[in-house]
Amino acid sequence: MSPTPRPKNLNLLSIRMPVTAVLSIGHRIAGFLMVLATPFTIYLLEKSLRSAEEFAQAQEILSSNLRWLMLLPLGWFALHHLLAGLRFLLLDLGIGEDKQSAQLSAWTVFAVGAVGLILLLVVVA
Amino acid sequence: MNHLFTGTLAWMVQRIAAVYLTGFSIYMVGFVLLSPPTGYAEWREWVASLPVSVLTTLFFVSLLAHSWVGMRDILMDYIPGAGLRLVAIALVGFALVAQGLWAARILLGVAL
Repeated sequence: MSPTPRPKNLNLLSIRMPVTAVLSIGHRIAGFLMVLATPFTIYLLEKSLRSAEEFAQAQEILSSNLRWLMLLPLGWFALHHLLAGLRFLLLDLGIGEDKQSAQLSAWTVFAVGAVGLILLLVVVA
Repeated sequence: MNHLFTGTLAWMVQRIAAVYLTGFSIYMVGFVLLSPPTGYAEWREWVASLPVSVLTTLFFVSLLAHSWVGMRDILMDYIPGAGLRLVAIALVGFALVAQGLWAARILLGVAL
C-alpha cells in the first residue's frame, strides 16, 4: 500500500504568523544585518583613531547623509535585537512563557522599539 | 560522548556574551550622549586608557562569540547540504576571526 503524500505548505506568506513569530524573525534578521555591518564599524573606529584629520573625516561620514542609510537603521536594529534578546533571556529563565505573557511582552518590545525609533530619528536628524 | 555536542556551550556563550554586550552598549550610548569626547586627542586618550581598552577588547571578544553562535544558528537552519553548510560556516568563522584580529591590531595600535 503506497503512502499518500503528506500535505505540505511552504508558502510562509500564506500563514498568519503570531506577533511572537514576527518578533523572533525580526530579531534574527536584525542580528544578521548587524553582523554584515561590523566591518564598516571597525573601519570607522580605526579611522577615528589614526589621526586628527581622519578623526574629523570619520565624524564627517557619521554626520553625512549616510547616517540615514546606516546609522539610523543599525541603531534601530540594535535596539530591537537588544530588547527582543532581553525578552528571550527572560524566557530562558522561565519568565513569561505562557501565551498571554509571551504575546504581551512581544507587543511591549515593538512598542518600546517604536518609541526608540522616534528618539533615534530625533538624535540622528 | 554525545553530551559534549548538545549545543549547550554555544547557548551559554551566546547568553553570557549578550549580557556583557548589553551592559557595554548601554554604557557607551550613555557616554556618547552625555559627555562625548571633544576632539581627536581626548578620544584617543580615552580609548587608549587601561580600563577602556580592556573593556573594549572584551566587547569585541563577546561580539564575535555572540555573532558566531547567531550566524551558526542561521546557517544550520537555512542551508540544507552538509558540505555547503560546512563551507559557509567556515567562511563566516574566518571572517569573524579576521575582524577580531583587525580590532586587536587597532586597540594595540593606540595603546603602544
